Amino acid sequence: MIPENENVLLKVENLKKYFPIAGGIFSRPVARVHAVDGVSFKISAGETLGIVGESGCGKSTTGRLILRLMDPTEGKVWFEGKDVFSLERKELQRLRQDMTMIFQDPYSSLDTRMSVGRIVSEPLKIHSLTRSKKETAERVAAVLDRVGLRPEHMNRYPHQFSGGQRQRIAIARTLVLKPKLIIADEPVSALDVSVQAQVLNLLMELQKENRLTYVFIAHDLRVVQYVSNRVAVMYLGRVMELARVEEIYSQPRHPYTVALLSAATLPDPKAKKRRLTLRGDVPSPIDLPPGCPFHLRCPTQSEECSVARPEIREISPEHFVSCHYPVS
Amino acid sequence: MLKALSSTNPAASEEVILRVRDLRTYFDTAQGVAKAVDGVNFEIRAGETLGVVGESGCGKSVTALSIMRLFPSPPGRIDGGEIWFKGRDLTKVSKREMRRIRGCEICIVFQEPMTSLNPVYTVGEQVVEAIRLHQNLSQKEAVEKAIEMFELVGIASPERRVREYPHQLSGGIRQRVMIAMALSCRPSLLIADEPTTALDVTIQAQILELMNDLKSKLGTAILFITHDLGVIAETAQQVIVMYAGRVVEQANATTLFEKPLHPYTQGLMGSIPSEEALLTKSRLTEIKGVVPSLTALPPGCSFHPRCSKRVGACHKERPQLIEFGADHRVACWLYTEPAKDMGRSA
Repeated sequence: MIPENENVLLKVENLKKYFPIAGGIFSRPVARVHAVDGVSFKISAGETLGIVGESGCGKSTTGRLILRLMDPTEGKVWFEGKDVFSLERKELQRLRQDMTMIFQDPYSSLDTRMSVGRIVSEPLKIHSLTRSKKETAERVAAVLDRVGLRPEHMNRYPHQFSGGQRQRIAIARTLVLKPKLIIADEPVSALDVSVQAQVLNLLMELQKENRLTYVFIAHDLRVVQYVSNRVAVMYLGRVMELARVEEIYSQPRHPYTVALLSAATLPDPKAKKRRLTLRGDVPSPIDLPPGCPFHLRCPTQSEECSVARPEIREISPEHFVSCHYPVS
Repeated sequence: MLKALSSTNPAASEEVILRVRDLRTYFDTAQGVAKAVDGVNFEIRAGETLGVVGESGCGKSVTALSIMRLFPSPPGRIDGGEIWFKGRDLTKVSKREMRRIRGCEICIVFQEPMTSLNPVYTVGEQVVEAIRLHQNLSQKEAVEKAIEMFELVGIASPERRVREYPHQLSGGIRQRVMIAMALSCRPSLLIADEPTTALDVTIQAQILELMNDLKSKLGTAILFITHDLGVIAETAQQVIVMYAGRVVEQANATTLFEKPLHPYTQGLMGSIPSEEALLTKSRLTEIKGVVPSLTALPPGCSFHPRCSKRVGACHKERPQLIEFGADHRVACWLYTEPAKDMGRSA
C-alpha cells in the first residue's frame, strides 16, 4: 500500500486520534471528534512532504502526533526504525533533538519573558549538548547569524521583533539542535507575502545545507506546491490523495483535490475561472456517517460512496487515492 | 446629481460613486504622529470593484475606516483631504448625516464575522435591527426582508437560519449573514475588508462568486481590501497598491499583473512562486528589510531604503502619482523624466 522508499526516515501507520466530547449530567463522553482517522505515509530522508487541507482536516493534529506531543488513539509512528509511542522518557527526549517543530503563530510560540539568546540556547541546555557557556554562546550566535539575525538581537525580547523575524527566531530555536526532521505547521501563514518569501527562501536553503527532511503543513496550495516533493491531501482526518507534487497539481485524481485546486485563486486576471464550486460547508468531524467522508459534497454521487468507506489504494505508480470513483 | 442605476446593466455606467482626494488620516501616539494614510487618491465607479492591495500597516484598513468615519477619534483624525460621495464631502458632513449614510448607502463587511456578530442575539434579530434602522418597515416586514436577503446570499433554509445564533453557524454562513446585512439597504458602495481571509479555500471561492454575482445583480460598487494578490486578480477590475500609507501604483487588474511598474509591486508579485519557480524551485524574489514605522517614515519615497532600483531623487522628494500609459499610474522617480537626468546612483 505504501511505496517501499529507500532511506525511510519516518513511517506513519494507521494513525488515529479521537477526542471525546463530554456531555450530559455526568459528563460522559457523548460523541467523539475524529480528528485523525487512519493516516499512513512514509517519508524519505531529505524530502519534503506537504500536507494540505482545510480547517478540521487533521493536518495539525497529525503533526503533533508524530512528535508525540499527544498520544494516539491508535496507530504507530516509526522514526529511524524506532517506535515513537513506546519510547521511554529518556529515549523520547533524545528523539526530540532529531525531530523538531516550527509553529504557525510567531506571536505565541516564543516566550515573551525570555530574551532571544535564552530562547535559542534553551534547547541546548535541556539536551545538555554544550559543555561551557562559551560553547553555548558560540552555537547560538552561529545559528542566529545563519537565519539572518545579528548578535545584538540576542539580548532583545520577542515583542521587539516583527512577525517574520520571530519566525526566524523560531527556526533558529529548532536548528540549534541540528535536527534531521522538522515539522513545520503553517510556518508562513501568519506572515505578509513579502516576508513569506524571505522565510521560504531560508527554509529551502537550510534544507539543502543540512539535508533536512520537512513535513510542511499548510493550507496555501501554491506555497505547498513550491516547497514539496510529495503532497498528501487531507479531509476530515483522512488522506484523500497522496502523490508526487507534479502529479497532484496536474493530474489530481480525487474529486476533493480537483475542487480544492479549482477553488484556489491564481495571481493572473486572465486565467480561466473554471470553477468547480463545492456546495455546502466543511462538515464537522464529530461522529462521521459511514462511507466516504466527502460523499455529501462530492459531485460524483453513488450508493456505494454513502455506505462503504474507500480504502487508500495505488492507482498509478506512487499515486494513492482514497475514492471509489477516482477522476480520470 | 447621481443618475438612478439601471439594474439590468450596471457595469456600463461610468458614474463615479466615490472620489477620495489627498486623504490624510493621522494618529497621535506617544511615539509621535503615525501617518496611517498619507495622501491617498482614488475613484470608484458604479458597478466596479476597486481592489486595494498591500501588506500589514500599509493603511488599507484605515482608508476604509476613514471613509466610514469609524476610526477612533482621538487619537485618530483626518488631517486633510476630501472624500466625495454622491456630491457630499464625507469629511465634513455632520455625525447625524454620517450615521444615516453608514450602514445604508455605504456598508462594510469585515474579516472576522464572529467578532462582527453579537453572540447573544440570533442572526435574524441582528439583520432585522440593521434593516429597521434605515428603512421604514414593521417588525414583520423586516423579518420577511431578512429572509429574502438570506436567500439572495445563498443561505439554504433561510426561515430556519434566521432563528439561529452565530455560534451555530459555520464561518462561511456567518460571512454570508454579514453580506446580507450589508446589502439589505441596497448600498451604492460596499466596502469589504479582507472578507475571505479567515475562510477556507473552498468557502472563499463560494463567497467570491457570491460577491461577483451580487455586484452584477445589484449594481453595487465594491471597495475590496486584501493582501492576497490571487483574490485581487479574480475580483478586481481596478487596483491600487498601497505602501506605508500611500498609493504607489494604480492600474486595471490586467495591466497591473502583466506589467507592474513600481519596484514594490514587482517585489510583491515576485514573492508569489511563479510557474517557473514552481518547476525549478528557484529562489523567490525578496524585498530586503522591513516596513518602516509610521511615526518615522523615511524622507522622499517611503520605499526607497528597501528599493533595489533607487536613483538620486528618491530620498529627497516624494514622487507623485503620474500617468504612464492608458489606465496606469505610478508614484516612482524611475518613471519621471527629471529622475533620469539625475543619474542612477543611489
